[in-house]
Amino acid sequence: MFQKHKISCEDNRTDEVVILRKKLPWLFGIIIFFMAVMISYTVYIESLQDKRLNRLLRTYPELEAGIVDIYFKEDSNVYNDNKAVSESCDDNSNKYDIENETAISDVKDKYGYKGVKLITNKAIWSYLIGMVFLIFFAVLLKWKIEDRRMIKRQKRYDEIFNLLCFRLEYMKEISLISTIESAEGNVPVDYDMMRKAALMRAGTQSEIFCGAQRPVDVGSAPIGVEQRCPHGADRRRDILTNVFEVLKELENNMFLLKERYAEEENHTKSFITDISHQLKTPLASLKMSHELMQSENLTVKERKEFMEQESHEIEKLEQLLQELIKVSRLENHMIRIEPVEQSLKETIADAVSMVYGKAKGKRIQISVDMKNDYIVSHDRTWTAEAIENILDNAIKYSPADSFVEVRVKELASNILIEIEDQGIGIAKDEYHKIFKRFYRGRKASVHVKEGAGVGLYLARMIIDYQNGTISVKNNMGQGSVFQIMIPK
Amino acid sequence: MNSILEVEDLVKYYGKDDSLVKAVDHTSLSIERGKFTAIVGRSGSGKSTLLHILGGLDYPDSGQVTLDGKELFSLKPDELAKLRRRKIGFIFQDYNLIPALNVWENVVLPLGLDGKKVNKKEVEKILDHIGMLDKADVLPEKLSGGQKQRTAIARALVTRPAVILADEPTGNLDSHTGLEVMQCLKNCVKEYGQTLVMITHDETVAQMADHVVVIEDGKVVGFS
Repeated sequence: MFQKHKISCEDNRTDEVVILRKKLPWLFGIIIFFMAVMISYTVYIESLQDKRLNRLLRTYPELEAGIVDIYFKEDSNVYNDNKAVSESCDDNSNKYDIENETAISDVKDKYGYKGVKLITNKAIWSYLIGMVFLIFFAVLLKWKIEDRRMIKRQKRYDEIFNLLCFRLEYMKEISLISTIESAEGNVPVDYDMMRKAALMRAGTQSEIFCGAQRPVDVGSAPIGVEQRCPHGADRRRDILTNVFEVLKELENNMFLLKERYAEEENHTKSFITDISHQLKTPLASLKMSHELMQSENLTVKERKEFMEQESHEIEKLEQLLQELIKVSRLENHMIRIEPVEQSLKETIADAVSMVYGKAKGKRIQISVDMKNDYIVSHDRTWTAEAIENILDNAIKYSPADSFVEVRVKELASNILIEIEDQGIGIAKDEYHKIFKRFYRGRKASVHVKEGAGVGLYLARMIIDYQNGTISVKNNMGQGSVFQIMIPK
Repeated sequence: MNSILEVEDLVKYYGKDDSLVKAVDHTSLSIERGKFTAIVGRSGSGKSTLLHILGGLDYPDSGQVTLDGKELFSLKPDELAKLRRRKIGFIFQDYNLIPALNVWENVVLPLGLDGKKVNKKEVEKILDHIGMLDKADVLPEKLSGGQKQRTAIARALVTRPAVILADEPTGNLDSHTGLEVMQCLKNCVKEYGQTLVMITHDETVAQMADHVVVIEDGKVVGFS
């Protein structure tokens, strides 16, 4: 399915040097041995000749004149003949000895001959080359031993590094999963699965970081991509850098986690403050009207008015409390949003039916344009709640006898639900504010007194949790278009 | 606030005297880690220049950008390239896909350039997330704008950079595709805890951001 070409690593430099180093000593060892043999042979021959020379001189002093010739001729026949002669002259040999000693030494002096010639041309060259190679050999031997040690050390380092990488990656993955969880909040914690996932990811990631071997899979890259297969010192440096980077990421994740927990705490605190604020106003109004009712200078009509006002306020309070309970339940993860593959059409139908009564009261027509049904993973009750909140707003802020249109369209990886109304609209600079808790748009608070500012906040929380998005679009001035996207 | 990108007194002027254009005029900014920051402003207000400098693609006349503690412009070009490769992901308005490579190859290219081994499962997961898995061996010329942009997003995500810089990614897309692309991007970034900095004209996009920076004539005039 995917085109793949293996780009093999050709940087065998380090390996080659190691191999060459291994072979050279043997090569030179052999040469040295050879040289040694040659030297010893030379020395032996010289000494042999030396003995022969001495014997000859002793037996035939008269050969003194032609001594050099014989010496250099090395004629074995002469030697053998002489041997026969010398043996026959054995009795006489002692007599000649003393005389011949001087003769021999004379010859030696005459010809500058001082025993075995260690310094001949041949020999010098052998010695020199031999010495050079000896030194070379010694150095190479040292290198070879060092090399062996280095390779062993390298292997150990690699093992340690790989293990370290793996452990770090694992820790990083765990911390990452924790940060995601802390953000979601509602996800049931399956520690086993979390650990397994982390292990798996750690394994593959550490391979990428520390185990870059040849070949490297890249797909076909015809533009001449340079492949780097780190070896030796390069690789260790690379691994170290990567280890540092992973440590840094860990640090960041830990920090993120801490931040999220702090945020959550602040969130709860501010929530409680907000609730008390919201409740104060209607309660104050109730208290005031109650006090006023205590006075006796009221007509029946006035009293009736006040009582109506009071019941109105109580209704508002009830509504507010309802909303607040919903929000708090959701925020404190007391309610789970459980997405299930089900019909989106039915969910939308649920939402519409919930607001139908209010719509009819203002003679507002709600139309749903949905060609097919879509089976999407979502939570029916809560998603219906979110859609209902938006529809509720649409009705609340639209004039009577207007239209509210719900359009459903399938996109590449989402289902788009557009809810358009002909109401008061929303100012551009308030687009991202309206989804904040207890925020009421400027136009909204002017037109309609009731409203806790919680509907959109809830809707966004519900949809965001299911990995969807809610956004509002500018509808050329008249009304608003809300776009809900739910992943398929 | 835990900031991942710090901009100190950045200046970038083009031309001189009469034709002097102050693209970035003594701008200081701080981008919070893990959040989505949108940069808005009219055309020509210096947003693109700022983004390119933020990502180390361009050098300022003066000032410094610090990414995760490292000062970008004190680094050698080699090291800067390495940092860019590993820590920053780019998404351009005109996609910038390589025409000779198919979707899969375009997406894994940053990994190959960095000499890293390609983890096939990871890349498949990313492609699946953005909905391009079944088109992995298609050439860019046969893709629609939205698909090309999604490929570009996958490419920016594959190295799991710390920061993703996007220059009007939905500029050449229709509103629905743009919305989808935005959602995909936001989800991916949220899942990996990355930071997203995006230039945009679109209010629909800007409203999804955690922070909004308003730029006018090279200066920051608003931050929320």
